[in-house]
Amino acid sequence: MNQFVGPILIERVAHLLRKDVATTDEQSECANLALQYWCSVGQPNTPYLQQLIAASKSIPAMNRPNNNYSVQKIDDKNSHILIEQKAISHNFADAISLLEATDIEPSNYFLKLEKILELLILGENWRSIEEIEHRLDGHMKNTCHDISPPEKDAYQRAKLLVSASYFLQGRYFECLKHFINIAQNDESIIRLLIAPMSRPLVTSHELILMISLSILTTIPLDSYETFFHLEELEPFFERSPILIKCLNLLINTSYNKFFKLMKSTINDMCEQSMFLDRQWDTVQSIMRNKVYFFYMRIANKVEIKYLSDTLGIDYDIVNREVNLLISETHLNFNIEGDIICFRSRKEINNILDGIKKTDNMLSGQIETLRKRNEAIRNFIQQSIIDNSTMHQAALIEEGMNVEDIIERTDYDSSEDVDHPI
Amino acid sequence: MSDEEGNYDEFMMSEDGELDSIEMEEESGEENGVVGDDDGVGSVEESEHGVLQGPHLPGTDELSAGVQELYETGKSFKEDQEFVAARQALRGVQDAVNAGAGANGSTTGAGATWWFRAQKQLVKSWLLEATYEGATPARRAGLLEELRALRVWLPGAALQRERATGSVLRLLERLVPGVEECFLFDEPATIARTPGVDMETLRFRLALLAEFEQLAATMQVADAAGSRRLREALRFKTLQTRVWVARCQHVNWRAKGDVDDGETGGMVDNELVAELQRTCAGDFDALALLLQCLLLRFLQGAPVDVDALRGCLAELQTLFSKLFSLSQRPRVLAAVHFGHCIVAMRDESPQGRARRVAECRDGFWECFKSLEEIGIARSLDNARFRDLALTGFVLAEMVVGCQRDAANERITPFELEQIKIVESAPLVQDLKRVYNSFKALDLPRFAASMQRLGHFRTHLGPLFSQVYQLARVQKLWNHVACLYTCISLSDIQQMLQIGDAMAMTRDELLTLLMKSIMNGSAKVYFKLDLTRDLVYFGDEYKNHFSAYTKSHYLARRAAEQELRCASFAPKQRGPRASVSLNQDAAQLRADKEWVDGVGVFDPPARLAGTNAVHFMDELQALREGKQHEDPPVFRRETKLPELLALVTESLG
Repeated sequence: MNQFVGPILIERVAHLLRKDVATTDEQSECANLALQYWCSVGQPNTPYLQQLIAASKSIPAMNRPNNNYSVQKIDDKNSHILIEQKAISHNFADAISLLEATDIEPSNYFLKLEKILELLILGENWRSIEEIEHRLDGHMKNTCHDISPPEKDAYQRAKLLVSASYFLQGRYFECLKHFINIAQNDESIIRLLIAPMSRPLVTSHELILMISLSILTTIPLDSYETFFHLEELEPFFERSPILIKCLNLLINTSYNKFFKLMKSTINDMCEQSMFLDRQWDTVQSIMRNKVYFFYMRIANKVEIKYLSDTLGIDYDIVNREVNLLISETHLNFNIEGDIICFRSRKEINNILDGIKKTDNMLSGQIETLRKRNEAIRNFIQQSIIDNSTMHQAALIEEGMNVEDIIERTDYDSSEDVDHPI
Repeated sequence: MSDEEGNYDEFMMSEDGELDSIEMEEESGEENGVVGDDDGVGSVEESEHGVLQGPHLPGTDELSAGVQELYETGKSFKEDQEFVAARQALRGVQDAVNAGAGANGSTTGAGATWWFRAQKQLVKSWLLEATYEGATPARRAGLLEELRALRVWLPGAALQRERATGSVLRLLERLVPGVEECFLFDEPATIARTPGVDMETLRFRLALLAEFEQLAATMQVADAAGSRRLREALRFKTLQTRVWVARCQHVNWRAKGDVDDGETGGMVDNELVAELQRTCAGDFDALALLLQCLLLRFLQGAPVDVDALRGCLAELQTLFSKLFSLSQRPRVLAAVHFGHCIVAMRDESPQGRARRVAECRDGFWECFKSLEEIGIARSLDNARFRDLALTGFVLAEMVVGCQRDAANERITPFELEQIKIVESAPLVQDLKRVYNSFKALDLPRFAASMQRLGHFRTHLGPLFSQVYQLARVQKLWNHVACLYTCISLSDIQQMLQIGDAMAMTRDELLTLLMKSIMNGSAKVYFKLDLTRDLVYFGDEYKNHFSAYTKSHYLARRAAEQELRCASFAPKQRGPRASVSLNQDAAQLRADKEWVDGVGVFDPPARLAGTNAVHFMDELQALREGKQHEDPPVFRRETKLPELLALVTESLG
């Protein structure tokens, strides 16, 4: 924690306390560190005050909420503190306007943009980040030749922060693409990833991990190997031994070991980081589903238990996630008992019941119609018989012979049968 | 200088046989001088004339004329192998100089030069005598004696200092030449047969070197730069000789049969190698010797310091690129190529594996060709180094050949001229059997023939395992997959078993199958039934995984989202509404990211982008689904439920 200075210190300590990943002593030490800083900038409001005080096991001498700095004339020194105060109390919009209002020498333009980016990331104001990047690039274009080394570093750090912001939004592909683009244009940026940064918002270690996780999530399983062999990325791979390990395991289909690594080393790294922790669950879910789906690609039939054992993932998780994967994406798989089975034309199978029901309905309706027809026919036939008997009787009375009568009635009745209704 | 002569000697030797080699070596030195060597430093005679003319002082003409005549007489006696007479004449030269010195009071100037030259010839006369008529202890003692005399007299000699140093350096090269006729790592029998590489000679050379050390110490004051050069040369020569002594010790033990070829047997001890490593920078001969030491370790089966090897090879490469003539030495070249192969084999990173096998193939082949050039490839001698190179080449060629497509099938290795010549050798026959059974995918026969190469396995392990692995993959796709429609995993395991020792586990088979899906090497489509451990082969198992398409899925997710929004809408008014709208967009993006990551709707494709940016573009196109339109049958299927709903509704 010692490497962090400014509002990020309080944020990180709060994260540490929330995750409860350190020993009580460490926690109280960190909380004290944060409170010390908090006092030094005039004890502004912070949402974490209760937690910090609880963890530090000591109560700092409280001043009244201090507005001293804001009433004084804003000069460089106290505007800087004011900005920190605003950031600590999560009033990021104000902090940024203050920062923008501060006159900073034009030779420190990139440093200023970097600071703004930091505040935007803290405030999760993603939409403005793109605009800042435009400003970064525009200014770079104008001044590309006479730029001082600290400014160049600030520019590169700012670019990396933009990559990080994509990761923090869960846009892993954009994160990776952005990073590759900036690394392509400026190879020295990878050098920046090993040098320890002073006053970092996001450490280089975290940046490397963000990019590594983006690689794992976005690159398709089938393409890991090709990606791993991209020569221009070798310097980056060298800086991320854990990524090399992961890629090797994934390429060799040693998924069990891979998930073990995820659950142990990488999990620890991610939990401790307030930034990575936000995306860690999603990343894990993508990786697990990626591998489930791979198994479903190669196997017509596989037991959930087998998957759980082979991959070393809890049965309940596999069961829940595979079910969800199948139903969400309408995969042509069914789960029968414990077995995930391939079912071709599953959609048709699924509507089979419906079709049967409509079939029943249809035949029911046809039956009703048929019965009605029958009834009508009977009725008509009866009427004809009745009629003809009456007619016969009348004709006989009129003196006609029997053959003539039968001939006429046959002709009439056949017509009637053709048109039953 | 030594390099050039050495090369020349080798050339001569391969023509005339080994017995004459010493003679040729001696004469070549002389001849080079007369004929006029191109490199400008190798010329013995020319330089000495320079020495003569440099201090040519007025008033000594008379002396010079007589002395020169006498000197020439002595030299021609020496060349006619009249050594006693030669020495007599040369002593005469020195006596005359001494007499002159008595008159002048000192042996400065031309006199000293003549004395020095005569002394050098005296040394050489002993050397030649020892060479032609056998190196008896007496002759060696004589040689040592004259060398010592050179030292005793040198301080007084007013020679041009640099030339004196040059002269001594050339003499050193003549007396203690490098071992160019065999490799440090050659078989003991080969080494024992090589002239000049025996304990006695080597020890004598050490004695000579000690004498030279004294000489250098004497010269130190007079010519600091020259003496430093001399010292450096001496240090290397001494180290070189000690390395060979260490090697010969082992060879002798082996010959006597009283030492078992243990792990460290015959190895040059680490201190010597370490010293060599410290001092070899920029020195071609030292680097070549270091390389041989490292290869010796490798061949003895000891762990090799790959980084040291890599560094040594890199330095040699730089020297090669600077001086073309260096790259014309087949012996060093053979070792260098072999060294590169070791480095390539030891690199186990998955990146560039195919490239490394190709490197091994080319490296072993170049090595073998170099050996052919110096006649080792064809000799019937037992030469493990050569056999390893040949085996390595054939195995690597098998791996590389498989990756090439069948259409541009190259000629088999056994049709290559260099191998054809040695076709009858048992090793070539063995390799042929391995190659043919591999091509025929006859695994039992392949296993048996590989067994015969078993003794190379410790050295060529990585190639062995790759060949085994490849044999399985080939067998699986070319024999099993196209014959069976359904077969159990255990049956395949049985079929892919190579020999008794190498059973294939179920996991290995599954990994093989899964990897072949991922890297696109599966030649036949297959599906597994993991509940019964069956494999079904056949294109009929190519199926669509989902009735949906990505756009379909996303549209449905969006619709669901909207529905949820609508139901919550009354609760959210004012500014919160826009926030929730943002959240919806983010949620949809997260859905897309998730489904893109999992890859359910994307056709399984191996991206081929050659650079990172290109790769990402391809990936983006894949994710955006630009390449594939929804197949019509899909849409029809997804419409069926709607149709059904319509029917039910109208019936109801």
